[in-house]
Amino acid sequence: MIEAEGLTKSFNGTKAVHNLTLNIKQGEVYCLLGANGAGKTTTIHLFLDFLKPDSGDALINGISVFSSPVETKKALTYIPENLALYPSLTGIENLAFFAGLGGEKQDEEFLIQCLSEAGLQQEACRKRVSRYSKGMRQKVGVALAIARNSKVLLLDEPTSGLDPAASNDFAMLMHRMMERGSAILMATHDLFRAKETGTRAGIMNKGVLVEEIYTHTVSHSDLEQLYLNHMKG
Amino acid sequence: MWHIITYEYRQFKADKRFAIVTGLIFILTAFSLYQGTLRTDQAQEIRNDRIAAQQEFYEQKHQELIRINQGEDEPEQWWRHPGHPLALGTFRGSGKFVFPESRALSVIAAGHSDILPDYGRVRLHLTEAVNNHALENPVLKAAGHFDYAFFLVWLIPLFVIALSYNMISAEKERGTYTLLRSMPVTSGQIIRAKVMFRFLLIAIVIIAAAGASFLILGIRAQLPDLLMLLAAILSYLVFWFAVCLLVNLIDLGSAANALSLGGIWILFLLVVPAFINTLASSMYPVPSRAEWIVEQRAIQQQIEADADDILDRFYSEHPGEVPQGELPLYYEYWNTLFITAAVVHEKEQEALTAFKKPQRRQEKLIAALRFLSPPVWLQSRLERLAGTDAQTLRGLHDNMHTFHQEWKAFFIPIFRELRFVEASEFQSIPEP
Repeated sequence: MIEAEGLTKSFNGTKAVHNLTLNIKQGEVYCLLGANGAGKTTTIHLFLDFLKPDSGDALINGISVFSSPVETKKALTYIPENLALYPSLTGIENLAFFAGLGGEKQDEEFLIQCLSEAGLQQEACRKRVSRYSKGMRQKVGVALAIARNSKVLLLDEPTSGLDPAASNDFAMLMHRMMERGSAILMATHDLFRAKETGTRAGIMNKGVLVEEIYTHTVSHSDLEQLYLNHMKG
Repeated sequence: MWHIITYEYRQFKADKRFAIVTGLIFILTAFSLYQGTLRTDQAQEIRNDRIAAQQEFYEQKHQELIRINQGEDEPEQWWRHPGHPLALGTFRGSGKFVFPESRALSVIAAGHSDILPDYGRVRLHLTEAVNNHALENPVLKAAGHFDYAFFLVWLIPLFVIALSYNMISAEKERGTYTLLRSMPVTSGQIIRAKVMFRFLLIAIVIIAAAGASFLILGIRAQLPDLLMLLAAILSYLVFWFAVCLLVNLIDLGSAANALSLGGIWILFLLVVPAFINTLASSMYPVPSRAEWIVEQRAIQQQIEADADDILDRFYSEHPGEVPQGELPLYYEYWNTLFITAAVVHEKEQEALTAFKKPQRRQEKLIAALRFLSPPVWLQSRLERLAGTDAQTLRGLHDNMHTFHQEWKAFFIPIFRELRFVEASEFQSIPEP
């Protein structure tokens, strides 16, 4: 569902992503680990067609994001580190707006159901988003994926800055999305969350995917050691 | 696109800017049109007064003449005789008023009406253009007219800028642009929808405010004029939204966008018109008014000095006009005045050519260059619709001249025949 074939992107001669090849299948949560500047966000931005690659291709459901960006965006939902919404609109209105951009109009009852499924309390749905915490905004992002029935999720440090309870709630949501058959690519620093949530993890260093592991085959400490070994070079 | 427009509207509704802009547009429209109605009502009042006074004068003279003919009254001195051509054609209270073309949309733009004459008075020995500006409130005179044209030309672009300077930059600064771009819509669709929404919003508010003000103030206009007004306003809005769109596409951030658009506003409203005016006056300089007055006096003096020669020439060319028999004392003075006035007019027209030629060329150049500045273009369109442009008001002079010829053609033969106007001839006294 999410594929990269020899994806390469440079900024001023520095390779941010180098010859990245990935294949994330339905029902998989792939955690992209790495230090700041390792190329995780650049990879996600390439999948979103925010950036054009120097070479290689990124595919969503077998369609190139660079040749058919609108088509591929119909299938995915992106949740950035800080999900910004329109502060003067309520949670439902924000959800209705972004969900409707895909061309699908959902009724309010369905949207409330999506927000509840994403863990947002009913009374919060009708409040203006300016009163929302970061965790609540991230939940609107997940509700967006549910409302749009996205089978592909691209998450960029979604739990960064969340308290442990909110972070755990988010991990549970990801697990549910995985069970619904979504393919999830999540860039994160959080090794613990990657081990708990991910089915696979990839470690990036200086734009190169240096290691790929199935998370159930390693312990928390093994994953941490592996990560540190790669960071030390 | 309609989905984005709907949610733009919801956001605007929740924003104070929406209420402020709508309220201001309604207040300024109503105020500027109210000012316009005060101005036009005053002009109409003056027109009605003059017409009533003129009708009363001729009606009174007619009745007096009937009474004299029936022997019920005695004729007074010759200059008060109700049938005397001089008493009816040139003395105090006589003559006819010529008014400029009146248009229903004159309320929208004062235009040149505060510079050019309000109406003209035609008598046998002279035509005079009259204005009532000296009677105006001096504060209003100093501050200028806050008319609807000023509101549209100067202030509407500021509303457009206030609502549109940060269409994309606000999304970026708020962080919502990233999520928007991850959606299956193109940047072009997003910005088109945003521009379209703001265009519709301002256009609807302007039309609603103008419609309400027209109804409340009782302004009635022809549909074609209203459609032309609407087309002019919408074209002007399209221009300013295109400018905003361009600045938003370059997008240097909200503050830089606002500054750039402020600079463009100054450029099109102040710099370009000033440049066009400077160019026109340097290419075709018009002699000063003082020079014209000096020239006029010189002509008058010259004609007075040459009066005998002018009379000789006139009588040699028109032997039938040579007075015969005993003539009243006043005859020579007035006859000389009528003959020389025609020569003065002819000479003045020749001298005026030197002044009018560069003025016409300036106007032509400005008309050709007005497309460099849409505000200049809109102002000229609005003045044309209001009938307060220089061209329309200049038509008053032409009308006065044409009517003067008719007036003279009616009274001067009667004067030279040394007879009075008959009561039955009152119906034939020319009307402008």
